[in-house]
Amino acid sequence: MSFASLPGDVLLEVFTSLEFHSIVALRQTCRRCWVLSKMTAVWLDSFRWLTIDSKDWRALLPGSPTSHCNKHLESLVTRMVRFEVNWNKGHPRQIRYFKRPLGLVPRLIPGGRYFLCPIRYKDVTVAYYDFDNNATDEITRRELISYPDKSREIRAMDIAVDPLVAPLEFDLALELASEGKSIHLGENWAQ
Amino acid sequence: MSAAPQVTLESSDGEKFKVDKEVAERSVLIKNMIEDVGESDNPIPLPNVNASVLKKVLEYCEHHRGDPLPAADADPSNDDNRKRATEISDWDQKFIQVDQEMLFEIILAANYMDIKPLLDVGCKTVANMIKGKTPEEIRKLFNIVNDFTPEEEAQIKKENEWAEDR
Repeated sequence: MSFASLPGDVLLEVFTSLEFHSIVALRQTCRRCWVLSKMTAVWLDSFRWLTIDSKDWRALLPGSPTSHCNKHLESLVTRMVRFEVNWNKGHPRQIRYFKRPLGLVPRLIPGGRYFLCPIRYKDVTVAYYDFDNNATDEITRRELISYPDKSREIRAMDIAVDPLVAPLEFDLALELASEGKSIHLGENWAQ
Repeated sequence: MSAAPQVTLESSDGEKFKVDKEVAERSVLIKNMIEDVGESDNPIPLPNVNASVLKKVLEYCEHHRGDPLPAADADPSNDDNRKRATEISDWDQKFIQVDQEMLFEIILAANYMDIKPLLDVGCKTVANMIKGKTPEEIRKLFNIVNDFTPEEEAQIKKENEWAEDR
């Protein structure tokens, strides 16, 4: 009895016990593992693992998790891990920096592609972070938009975008944010 | 006072094991078999499990005889705790310290006999062995033959490159 002689359903059980980087490593060892790693169950479990602490996962996965195809799930999980890797690398540091002075708690949705954060009070400027790009400060920290309407308050915004949607235009991303509950009007901002 | 009911299990190589029914019923397969055919004195055959593996599996069942049984149709969304914990209890850890061949035999038997917690212990053990290793190291560890063509391998490597950069 060896690893290679385990039947497929048992190997699948092994796969569903692995964390992301182990899946990626094991799938590269042989053809059979490669094929097995494409099974929906593998990514469904991986997804559940990653989102276990987050109540926001439904924003990323509408409907029943099992109604999504393996490719979709895999790309979601991949994005989440990428997001985390980029985040933990310390890029972009600015978001962490802004957290306290503005009294904001940027809410991160794992797997969201964009992270938006207000960085100035007077003409409210939004810093825009794209977690799909491997972060360097130049490309992640882009001041993209100014709101002329000062009565509006923008707090930490974040957007979870379906990863299968091709790179979104910023306008569209912002629109999505405004549809969510991430943009608030109120006095907290203008202190 | 009557003794606890017992059943006899027969391994693929003909060895018979007399155990308490409660112990044997840690295996959902055996539990269902007993329910289906009713209690009888005939040994229950397990043609896929040899004596040395069955002995080991029964050792596990004996130790965990009092554990609450996992619900048969548990809501899969509540499945997280089972999968998430990569820690294995001290006793289980000691129990599963066997050579690779026995480890895979146990996993196989747990799957066949439908003993979910034991299957999990086995899979988690394999997961712990894999953790942090490169594909090449995993091949060596498990004697996996690389059957990709060089082109495929290059392609796959490229696709997964970013994941190694942490």
